Amino acid sequence: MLKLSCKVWPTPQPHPAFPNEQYHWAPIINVRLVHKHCPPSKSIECWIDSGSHVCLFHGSLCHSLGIKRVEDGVKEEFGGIFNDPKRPVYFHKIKVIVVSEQFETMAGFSWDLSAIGILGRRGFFQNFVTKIDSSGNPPFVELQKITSH
Amino acid sequence: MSPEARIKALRETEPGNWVAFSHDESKVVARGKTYDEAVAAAEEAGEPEPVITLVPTDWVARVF
Repeated sequence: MLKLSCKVWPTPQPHPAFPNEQYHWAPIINVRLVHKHCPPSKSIECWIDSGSHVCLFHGSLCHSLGIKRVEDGVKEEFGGIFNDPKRPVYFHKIKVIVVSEQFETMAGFSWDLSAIGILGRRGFFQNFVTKIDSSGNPPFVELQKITSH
Repeated sequence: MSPEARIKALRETEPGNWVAFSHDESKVVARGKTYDEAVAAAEEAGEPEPVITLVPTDWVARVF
């Protein structure tokens, strides 16, 4: 069982609905990425997001992972929950290291992501029973590795 | 690093840039316009194992 503290993230200032809040706690955890036989990335802060069906990472990481061209991956057009224009995402097979655990997945890379990484259902939630406990200060994330594949 | 110090560090970063925290996340060690630049600057600053994050182009509330 991995128990990891959530991290704070700035809110719009001033927040129209929560004017006294400077930040909120978010399920952001550190992971490392590995592609083929290249050394792992540095630790990067990624958002746990059960709303995303895949793991997504910023295209800027590809160079250091040994992926020569982001666009060489398998292309899919992505939209958000608002009616934004669709954006291209390119899938590459990578390993994601979470503390002492790891999993392999086809993850999407995009130049348009506004975060370094999103840990979604395919890959992350398939491998970890995930609990977010926001009752305390700081809130925390509990990850139970699923071993029965 | 306290929540307030982390928020200050993030807000002080140029929008769209990358921040490198020390391995124990107690301080900011470097910033850069790209992931590679932030990592290189962190290593130059004596931090071989930084924790990297990306500051968005604005602080609008987001749903992913």
